[in-house]
Amino acid sequence: MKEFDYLGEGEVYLDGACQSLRPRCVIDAINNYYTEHNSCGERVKYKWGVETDEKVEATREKVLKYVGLKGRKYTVSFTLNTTYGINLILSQLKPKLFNKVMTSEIEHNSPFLATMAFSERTGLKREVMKREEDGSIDVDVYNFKKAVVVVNCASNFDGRKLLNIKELVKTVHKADGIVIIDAAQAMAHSSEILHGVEPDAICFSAHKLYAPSLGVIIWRDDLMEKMINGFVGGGMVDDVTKDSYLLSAEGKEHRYTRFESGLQAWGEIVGLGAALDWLEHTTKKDWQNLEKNYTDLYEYLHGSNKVHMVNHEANPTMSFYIDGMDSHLLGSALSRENIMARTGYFCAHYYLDHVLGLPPLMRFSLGLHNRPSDIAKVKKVMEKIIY
Amino acid sequence: MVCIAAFIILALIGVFVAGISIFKPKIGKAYLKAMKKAWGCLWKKVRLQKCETGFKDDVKNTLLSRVMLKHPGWVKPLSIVIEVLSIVIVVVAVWAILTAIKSLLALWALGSCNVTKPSACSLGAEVCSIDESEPSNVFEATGRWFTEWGEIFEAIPDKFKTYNAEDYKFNYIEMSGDEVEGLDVVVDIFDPGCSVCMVSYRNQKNVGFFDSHNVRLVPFAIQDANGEYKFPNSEIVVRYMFAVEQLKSGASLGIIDRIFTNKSSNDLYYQQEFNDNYSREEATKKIESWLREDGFDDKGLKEIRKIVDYPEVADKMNENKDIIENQLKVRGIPTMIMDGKRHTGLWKDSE
Repeated sequence: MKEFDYLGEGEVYLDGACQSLRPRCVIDAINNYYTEHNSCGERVKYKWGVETDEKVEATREKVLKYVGLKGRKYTVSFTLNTTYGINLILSQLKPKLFNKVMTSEIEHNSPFLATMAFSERTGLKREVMKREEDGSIDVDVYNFKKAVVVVNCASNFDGRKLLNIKELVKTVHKADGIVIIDAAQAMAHSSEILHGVEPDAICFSAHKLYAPSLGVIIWRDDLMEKMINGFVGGGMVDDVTKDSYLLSAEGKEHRYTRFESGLQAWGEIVGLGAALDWLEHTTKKDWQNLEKNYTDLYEYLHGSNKVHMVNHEANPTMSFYIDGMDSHLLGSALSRENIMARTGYFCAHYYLDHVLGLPPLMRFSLGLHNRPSDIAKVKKVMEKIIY
Repeated sequence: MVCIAAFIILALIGVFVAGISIFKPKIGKAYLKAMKKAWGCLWKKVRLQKCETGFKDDVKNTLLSRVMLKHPGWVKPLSIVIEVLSIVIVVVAVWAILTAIKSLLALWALGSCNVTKPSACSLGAEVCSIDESEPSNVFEATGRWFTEWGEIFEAIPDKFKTYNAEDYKFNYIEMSGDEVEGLDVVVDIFDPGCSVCMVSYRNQKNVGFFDSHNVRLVPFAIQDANGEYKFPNSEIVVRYMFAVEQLKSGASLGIIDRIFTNKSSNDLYYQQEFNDNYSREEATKKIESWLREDGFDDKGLKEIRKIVDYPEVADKMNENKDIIENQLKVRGIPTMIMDGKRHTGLWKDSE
């Protein structure tokens, strides 16, 4: 793709699940902010600021559109990353409204640790739910009465999706609970899973969505009633007296400020808008190319009896280990061949190490930037190493 | 040597990193970072925590990643070699640290960084050491390494002990004939063949130490673990000193004074002649010639010769040996007990 023409010949980037590559238009949008309308957003009247505000507001709308949610019910706030977003919500939830906190076994440490800390702080019971091979949760097994449920809708090591996400959200809501979705891994390549789902909050990282480093919280407006004001400050109020303040978030127009204390990363937000525009303009062929690439690579790896796949099916994100071979060493060897891929437990220590008892893994996570020649190269190098 | 080697290993690592940091700050920082990472991983492992990837793995991966691409088959055997090497490095590093600590502790508690052979420690005081037997194999050496820790810890309480010269029932020779009231009592253990004792004696004599203290001289012939005398003629000198003393109090002082201060016709100090050149018969003859000069006639000498062979003299020597080696656990000569403390090593003019 020409948007990734800065990739050198023979350079293969396979770590999109951590940081996706940014298309040129995103880089240009950020540069444009810094060179054309650098400003203090959402509080100034000068023209550069007005331009920034327009682009930031447009980005909020694009985010809602991307996940198929309506602005009258949901608000988009920006933060640092998924972990930060989840913690921002959990740290401000009123504990007396809930009975317990629930998460699942295949989670990234982002929700896994945050729910632990939430449980420790509030004294509420914490429950870790089992995920089926297809990624779904058997909702009949668990009691969701007044539960805070924090789960991903796509895993970060094999991409398995929360297939029954709609059923889960409905069941939890019926039981007076809330659902916070970690959509960090779903946003880039399987955001459709969120369409038609109305969880209480969706947290994701823009840097896994071809956008700059940025966190996003999409949240239902009624979540505000369930929260205390625990993280407040600049840019969040309409009025302040000696001992009181009036939050701007009380009004729908500035509801996003509820999670946006202090100045925001305006350039990055503008960049996210550009990334969403770019994604909207990607073609069917681009996606077919991605599918062909990851299927090809998955089948190649799956076909080797020395390779142990964690995946149960092909996905742009795939993890594996090779008999008798240290994955970190394999990662270093691939790096010498300009193949960039992640090794370790990918912040999913609990499931990969303690539940499955696997050694550190190798993860290939593909993106729209990958070319068929990338896959050919990976196969050629792996061939040399494995056989 | 062992303790020096340990110091050298530790110092080399420190100097290496410090040196590089001065001349190539970037590389120095990288080494420091690697050391911190290594330490961090070690510290985690010590606390039985997981260390997913540590310094060793980084080094291993750097070395083996090249091999993996060119000769994948070599990776496994090379990996084993690196593992073994890393174990050796860890063992050597731990040994170096522990030996360095042991040597410092020994230096403080025993006055020498070498527990077995105190005179071999250049950091300690100048002494003629009472050496233990050298270990004959690796197992003995390893066992000795551990028992030395015990000896050091056993000696630590003695560092805080108050010594009283009169508490030890030595067989001694009073330096000034009779003890002078009001002067402090000092015990001075020496070996007639020990050069450090000779220099100490001269220093003491020069500053009038023997006039300002009631000095109890304890002649002692150092023996090794096999019972061999460190200085071959020291035993006969000590025997004669006790024998003469039995006949005439203070008469033996002339023997030791001549050995430590007089020169022979060969322009050598008598101590050197006794140690290196005289046979036992020649040493005996020389001592008797000095006794004759000091007024003993043939009859007196005959009597002395008889006493020299008395078991009582051997008993006196053995009693002193027991106090020195077992009660006081002295490892180096000269040793003095004065002012409530024990002082081992050369007595300098300034003292």
